[in-house]
Amino acid sequence: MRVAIGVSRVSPSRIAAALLVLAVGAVAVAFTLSRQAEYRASVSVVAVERGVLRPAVGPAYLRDRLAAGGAELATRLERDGIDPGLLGGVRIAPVERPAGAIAISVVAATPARARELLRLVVLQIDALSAAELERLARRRLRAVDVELATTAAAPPGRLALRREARGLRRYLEQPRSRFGALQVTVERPRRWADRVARSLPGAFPARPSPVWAAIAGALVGAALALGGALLRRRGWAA
Amino acid sequence: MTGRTALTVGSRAAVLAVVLLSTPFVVAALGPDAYGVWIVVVAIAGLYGVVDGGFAPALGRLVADAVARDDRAAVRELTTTAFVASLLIGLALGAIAWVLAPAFAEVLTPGGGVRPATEAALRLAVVTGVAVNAAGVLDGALIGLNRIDLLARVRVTYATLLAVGIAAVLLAGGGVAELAAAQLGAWCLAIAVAALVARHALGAAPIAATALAPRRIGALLRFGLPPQASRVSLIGALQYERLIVAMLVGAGAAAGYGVASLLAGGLRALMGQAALPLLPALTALAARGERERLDAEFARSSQRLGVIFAVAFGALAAVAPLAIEAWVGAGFGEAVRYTWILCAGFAVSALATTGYALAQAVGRPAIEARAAGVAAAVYLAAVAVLVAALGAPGAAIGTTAGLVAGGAYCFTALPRAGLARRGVLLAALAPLATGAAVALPFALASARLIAHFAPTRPAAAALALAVGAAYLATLAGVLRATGQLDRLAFPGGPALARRWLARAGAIAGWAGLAAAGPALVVGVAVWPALTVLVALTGVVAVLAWRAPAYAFVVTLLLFGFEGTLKLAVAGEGVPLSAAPAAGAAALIDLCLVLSAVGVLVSDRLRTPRLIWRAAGGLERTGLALLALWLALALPQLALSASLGAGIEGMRLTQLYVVALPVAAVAFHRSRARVESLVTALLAVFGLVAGYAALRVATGPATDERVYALAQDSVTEVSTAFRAVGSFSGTVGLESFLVPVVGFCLVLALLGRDRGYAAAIAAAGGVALVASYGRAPLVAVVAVAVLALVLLVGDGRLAGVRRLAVASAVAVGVLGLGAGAVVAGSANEKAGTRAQGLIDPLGDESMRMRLESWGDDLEQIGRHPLGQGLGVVGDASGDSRATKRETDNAFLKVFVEQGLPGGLAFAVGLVALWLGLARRLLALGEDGALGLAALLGTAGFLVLATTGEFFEQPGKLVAWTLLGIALGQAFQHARRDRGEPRVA
Repeated sequence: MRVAIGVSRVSPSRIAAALLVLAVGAVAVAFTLSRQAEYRASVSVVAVERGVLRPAVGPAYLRDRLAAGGAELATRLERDGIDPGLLGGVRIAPVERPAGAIAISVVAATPARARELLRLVVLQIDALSAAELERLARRRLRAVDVELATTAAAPPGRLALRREARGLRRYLEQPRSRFGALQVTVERPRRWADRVARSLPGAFPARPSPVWAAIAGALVGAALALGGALLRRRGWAA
Repeated sequence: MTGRTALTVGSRAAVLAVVLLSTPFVVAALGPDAYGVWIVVVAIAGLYGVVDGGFAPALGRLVADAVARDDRAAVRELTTTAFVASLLIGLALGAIAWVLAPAFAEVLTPGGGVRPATEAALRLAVVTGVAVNAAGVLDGALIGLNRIDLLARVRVTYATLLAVGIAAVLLAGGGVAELAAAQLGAWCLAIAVAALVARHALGAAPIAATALAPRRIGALLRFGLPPQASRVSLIGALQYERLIVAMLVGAGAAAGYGVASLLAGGLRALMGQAALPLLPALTALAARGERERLDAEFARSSQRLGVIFAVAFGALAAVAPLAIEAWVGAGFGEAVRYTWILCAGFAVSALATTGYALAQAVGRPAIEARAAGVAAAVYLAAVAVLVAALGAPGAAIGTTAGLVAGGAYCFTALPRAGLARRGVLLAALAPLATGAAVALPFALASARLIAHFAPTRPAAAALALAVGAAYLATLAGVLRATGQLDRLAFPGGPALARRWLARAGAIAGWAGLAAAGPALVVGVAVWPALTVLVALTGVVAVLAWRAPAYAFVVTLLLFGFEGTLKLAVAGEGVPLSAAPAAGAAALIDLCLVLSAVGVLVSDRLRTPRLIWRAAGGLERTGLALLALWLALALPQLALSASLGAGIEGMRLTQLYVVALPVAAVAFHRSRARVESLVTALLAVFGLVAGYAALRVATGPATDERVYALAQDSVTEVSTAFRAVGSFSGTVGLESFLVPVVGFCLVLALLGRDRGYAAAIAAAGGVALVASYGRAPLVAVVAVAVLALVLLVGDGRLAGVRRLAVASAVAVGVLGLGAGAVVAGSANEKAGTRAQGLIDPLGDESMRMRLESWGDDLEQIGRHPLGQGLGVVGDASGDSRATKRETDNAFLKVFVEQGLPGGLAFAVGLVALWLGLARRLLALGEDGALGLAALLGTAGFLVLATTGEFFEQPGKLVAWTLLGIALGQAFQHARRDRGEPRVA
């Protein structure tokens, strides 16, 4: 028994179209994979001593402040169009120099977004820390006032108490930041694909996901193939 | 005809070009003061023409008539008499001007040392004026002899002599007196050349002492005074309005107005030359009594000139924002809108010149004089009143009203006098209307380019050239598709033109693909979302060409996923530092324009005409009022506080009405013939509603939530996030899904796709409940109740069917109610909002709305003509704090467009809706699709009473559904007619 084997012939134009779709998709994916996925921005901060109030300031303290204001910060990030999930990438750690400094770092899809996120995180930590300091100052001021009113301390002691009360009142009148930012560093695009992207007009674009790049590339390739096919077959409707 | 028109316009343009191009050199060489004197010198030379009795245009007609009768003696008599009369009038005026010249020089150069030169220049200008009048007579003779080619040579000779003279004077270090002498010399030589060529054309000297015949004066005045009145009326229109603006508003406003007036009026003066060759041709045919050929020639020529005027005035309107920026720099934004308005008036006025030529040719010159009188009477009164009421915009509106009134008089007088058929005149007007429609989006785009990018003056000039070229290409395509381009004569005939067009199109297509290919590959690697959107726009463009109705359906899909597209584009950024969301919105709008053009052009507007003819009183009233509402929007653009806001307001609201005729064309067939289109439409609605319901179940993606919260709208009820689906915000989702749910709900009761439609309605209902909005639920229930009333009240339905319909509606309403109860339990605030459904008057937000509506009604009373487009809604501010809101789409229209616009909109919608409801109910089963669409529209209209929903994405669905209802209501009107290629 003979079995007829039919080989269906695919027209060269269809093969060319399929190759175009694959090629554009591949270019898009290759370019995407050549790019850096995220950029880090970091800042070193040092605590500024405020008179008699000296709660221990270390990485744990900052992490606690960030955790305490996390929900509020997430809401603010959402309002500004920033993914609050990026807060999971915040790192707080001590650095060797200068002594006592702490580094806060964040990651985001572009250097500009990383810088903005870092600014918001530091502002939030600073605001919460200042609020805590204010509470401490009020409590201490009340205690000092009571001590001055009720105890008969020796003149040098009273003088010191009065000086402390004056300092606390001045601070409460105009609360100031508790931290000084030393140096902000933002990672710059280094890979060739990122440099190409940076040289294009407009803001530096974030790296898309490779899957999305593949789909988008295939779609654009299909659109190009369709346009070519229409022009080849019909010319221009006259 | 077209070639001779090009000669007259081109040769006059050559003279203007010499004056314009020499201006910077004259200013640099003489300084601004002496340049001012030079301008006066040029103006004086031209002013004589205003008082010359119109001998030049009269000669054009009378000489042509004499030539047709082969009466050479009459030609010589007419020319000689007109020449002598012109000289006499010129000399009389010149004598007076000569005496007044020193005093005028004193005024121009008070106490200046250059007064002797100024005085000499003015006296030379006086002599030049006499020469110009004499030259005008020879021009008229050449026109009458039908030697437009020789006329063009004389003008080009004059332009060349003037250019050489100016160059020689400036190189020799001469002053303004020498320039005036050069001008006089150029005119004298041009007259000699004109006399020589006229002799050559006539075969004898056109002017001879023996040919003087004073009895010819009567005929010369009879045919000369009407065009002279027309000319004076036009000059008055250009000068009077500036004067009134300066007096009533201020010199600053007059300056802005002057720029617009110079551009539009200058173009009108140039285009006035286009109809010159028509006069001798028509006169010759009339003199020989060839009536049929006369009618045919007038029909052909007027339609061709209509196309030429559409090209010229449309291009000016399209590039006006960029051209004015490039010409005079920033700070003349007001001039743009005046230019747009004036372009409309001057285009009609230019077209009326064809009618005047016909009237002259057949010996009825009084029509032109009366038209000039009508125009002058209307603009004199309208400008004075409107400038006092509206400020500077009133001048443009009043002038345009006058010019249009004059043109309208001409176009009604001609058929009344039996000189032309109405159809011929309408065919001549059609290219102007097409040009206006095509120019509008380009004009708006030009204004947005200026607003967004603030280009430098050279960049603005380059952009103006690009936009102008794009306008011309689009207009050519539209005119060709609608058969209007065929009326233009191409050497070698239409076949050759088509071949060249085909070649040019193919080359442009491949060149475009070759340029777009690499750009798209780079783009997709860096900005995939934007590039995909660009590619989709390309796909829509191709579909608009091959299957326009599906291009429109794809556009609806893009609108349904506007939020997803915008957030994807915003997440990646866009090139050129443009605003990502605005860029995405612009591309989606472009898709709408492309698909609409595709559908309407492929139909060649046959369906709208068919529907209009078949429509009853209510439908016609509704359609006419909606058209009036749109027409009023253009002049009301001038009332807006800022042009940018006005344009944005128009884009947000009026632009999308285009979906109404598009959907009517696409769905203007029986249900069976549009089955696949309905399936595609339901698929789009299903995708949008299904995705929204899915996101209710799973919660929004992080990006969606973040993007929605970052928008300046309410997307939360206390702690509960309101559903946004694939939209930028909750309000957008509600606006889209309310008409969709209403449409699918009724389709599920009546149509063939019951299951699928019911599933879409259910999915959309879930999303609406999760949007925590009360108005959407009320709107859907209103649709259900309306459907119940219409369907159960329809005596043709069987009892079982009625019961089924009632039960289904009851189940749907109960489902929504149960959903609202569940949603109300999300938190305390949601519960309070749900309570508002039961007691609306006790609800706080309803009380605030009622208070706000009262304020708006007061505003309408204070501004019955409206406050201009863009004063309410998204165009009125950048944030919720600065935006003005009426919380009612109808009140928004009343506030912006006053009582005329508001009433036209509201009454038009209601009349059209009622007319269609009556017609669709009468169709029975055949009207099911249309009735469902109409009820979907009703849902949107109910929703629109609680917010500015005509600015939200759902407006496109609402206008589309109304269009579907319109198309379906007249599906049987298409008997035996060829089906247009729309799908």
